[in-house]
Amino acid sequence: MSRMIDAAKFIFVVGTPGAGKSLICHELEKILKGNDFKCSRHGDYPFLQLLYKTDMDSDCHDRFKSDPKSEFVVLDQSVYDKALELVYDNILKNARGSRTIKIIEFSRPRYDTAFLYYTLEALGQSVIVHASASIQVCIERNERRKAMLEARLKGHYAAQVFGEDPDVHYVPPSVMSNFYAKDEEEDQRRSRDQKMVLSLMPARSYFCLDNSADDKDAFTATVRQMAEDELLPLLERGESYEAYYYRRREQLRGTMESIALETSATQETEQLALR
Amino acid sequence: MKKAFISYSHHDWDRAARVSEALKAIGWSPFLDKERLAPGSAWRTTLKTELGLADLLIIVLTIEWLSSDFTIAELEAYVKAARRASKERVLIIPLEFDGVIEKDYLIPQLNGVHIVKGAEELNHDELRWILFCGINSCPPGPPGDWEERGSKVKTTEIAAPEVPKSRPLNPAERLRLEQEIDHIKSPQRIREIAWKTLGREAELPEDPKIAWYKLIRMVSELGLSERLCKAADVDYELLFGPSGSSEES
Repeated sequence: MSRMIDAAKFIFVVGTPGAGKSLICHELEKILKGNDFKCSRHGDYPFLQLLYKTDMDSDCHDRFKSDPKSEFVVLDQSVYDKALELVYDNILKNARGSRTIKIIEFSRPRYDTAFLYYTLEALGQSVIVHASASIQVCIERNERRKAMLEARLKGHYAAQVFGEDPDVHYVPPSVMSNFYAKDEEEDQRRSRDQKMVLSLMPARSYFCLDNSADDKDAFTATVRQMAEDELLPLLERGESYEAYYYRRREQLRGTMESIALETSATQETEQLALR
Repeated sequence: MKKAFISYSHHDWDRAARVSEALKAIGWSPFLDKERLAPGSAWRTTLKTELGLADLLIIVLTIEWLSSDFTIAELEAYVKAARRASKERVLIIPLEFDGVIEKDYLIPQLNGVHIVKGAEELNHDELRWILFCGINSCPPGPPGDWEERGSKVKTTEIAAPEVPKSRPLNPAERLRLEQEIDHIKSPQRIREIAWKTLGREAELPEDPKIAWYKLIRMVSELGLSERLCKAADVDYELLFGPSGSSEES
């Protein structure tokens, strides 16, 4: 009988700012707790903050620049991967024997090197949930957050600002600009690459959830369906390497086919526009 | 009517069906997945809920049962749910068929539980008697008397007609119901609604949002969403159309 991989206990929620990561985390937390799991939420921001403070304390200014509006600005992009190393060392490595499911939220323009430091054992116990939306939609949502925060600063609509919205993190343009390219075509290519890179990670499973339509309830229902039908079983029990391989192979084929379909649909639309 | 969950491997369907008949004859409502799971339904949730509701777990103990991860997981889930609900007794009756299991089972949950050997040999009345004794914690007496005693066990108890069930709600519908209902935030009121819907106490988290999620999912799988709406003063038909319809959202 083949060796077993333990039940998954880490959920990485990734995607462009404004794509719906926080909504996914919020909903997953509710679903996990409602199904008798213990769970905790984490992000890479505290680790970036730690790196920034360590650099400032040692008078090193190569990687970060202090900024009065957003605390710091990243100068050297490699600190993002360093922060993920710290996530591994402090959250994943320490979780051996723990039964708490860790939801880890982070965002990168590219994910090629994000999991470089992670062992196969850790990735085998991890599920990647990718919130996907077109860059235009993400920018619009981010701008809406800005408007909400400004309203809050005026002191009028605090309840509306924080009411039901799980998260109102505004991402400044200097950071947001890392997520989009010079034209729409390039943005689409980047988005496809992101999906391919993430689906090729040797994680236990990869789910890409499309949040392009501006329908919060429909997206929440999609998250719920994925979590109840596909995620919970992975958190409940381990599986053999063979089962893992065949399941992932099917999943990967599905992802690649959907990317191919997406590409051909885009090309058709372009051709129609040209006519 | 008290509920029993029959845990069996699908190779042993005939045996499970025999046990089910014997249970019905002594006034219990047995749950057999093959009979009760609607095609396409979320079987995992239903099984978990039914295990949580069961007052008795019958194990059709065979080599196939022992080699299935699912059946062992059922046993674990039943014991866990019974302990969490602080039940006075975690009632498990393992019926060993085949007689091929000779060694200790190495299943911690069955440690110290008396296993009924040679269940294959028991006829309907004998099986009924053994189950009756197991449920009521009384010794069965000499095997020669089992058939006669079994035939005298009360069989007149007629099952109450089942409450008409509403269809399971899909995730979008459950979300809609949650939004409709989540102005009720008092844990006491939520427990009261759960009691009215399920007819028993449900263990729910303190956080009202999580409690509603859990309760609505549970009642949806049990086909009691209409009853929940009634208990919480929500118009079911307004939300989901006429009872029993299969509106897609």
